[in-house]
Amino acid sequence: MGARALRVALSGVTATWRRARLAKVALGKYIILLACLLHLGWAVLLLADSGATAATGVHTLSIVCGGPFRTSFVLVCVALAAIAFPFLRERVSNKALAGMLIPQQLMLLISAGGALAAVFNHHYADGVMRTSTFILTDQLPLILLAFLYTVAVLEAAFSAE
Amino acid sequence: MTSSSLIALGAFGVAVLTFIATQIAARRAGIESESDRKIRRLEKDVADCEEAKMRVERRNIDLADENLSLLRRVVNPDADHER
Repeated sequence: MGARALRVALSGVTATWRRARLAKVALGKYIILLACLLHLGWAVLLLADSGATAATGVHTLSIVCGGPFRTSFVLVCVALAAIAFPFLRERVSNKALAGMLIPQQLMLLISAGGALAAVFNHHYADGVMRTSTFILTDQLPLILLAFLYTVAVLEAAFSAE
Repeated sequence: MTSSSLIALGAFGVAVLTFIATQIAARRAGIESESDRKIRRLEKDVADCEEAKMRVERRNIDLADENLSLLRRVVNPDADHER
């Protein structure tokens, strides 16, 4: 009985959420824009100072890509591909959609994974030790951005017109 | 295997799952190419036009009803009092 009531309440909440609109324009593009600006900002900062690779969000990316300059290059490429997407939405196929957005999603997921690893290891990527709640509070925006970006990609694919 | 490799592998797995989900969505919606998209957009436009046409027709009927009642009132002004 309780489980059924909970399920009904949850379905009500999800239905309300699906109908909810803040504006006439779709908001998924702002999530993509935020990710692009973040990645372009990181790329510039990595070029300015390679010591920035010790930052938790960038550290794992730097290891995977192989250094600050390659990481900058990859970040600029994925950000430009993703920012082009809203302008080409009407003209590209679903495979192109995946090709434009999923590389950036991969970068965000790697950053979020690095942040989660820092939470579980109780220290930032540069070795500064803190409690896991402290690190989680600090890194939560990055983790949530990766999650919301995934939702935005799926929404773009499922609400295709 | 280092933690970075594990993270990258996990992220890659999620990205692959997202890719599969986007392709399933495309199949389900019947969208494979640009021409499919155009056809769907045109179909939506046609549906919007039909809806607008229905709205205009309904409005016309309402106006006709209103005209008729006004005409009745002009022809027989006492009818409302009788009712």
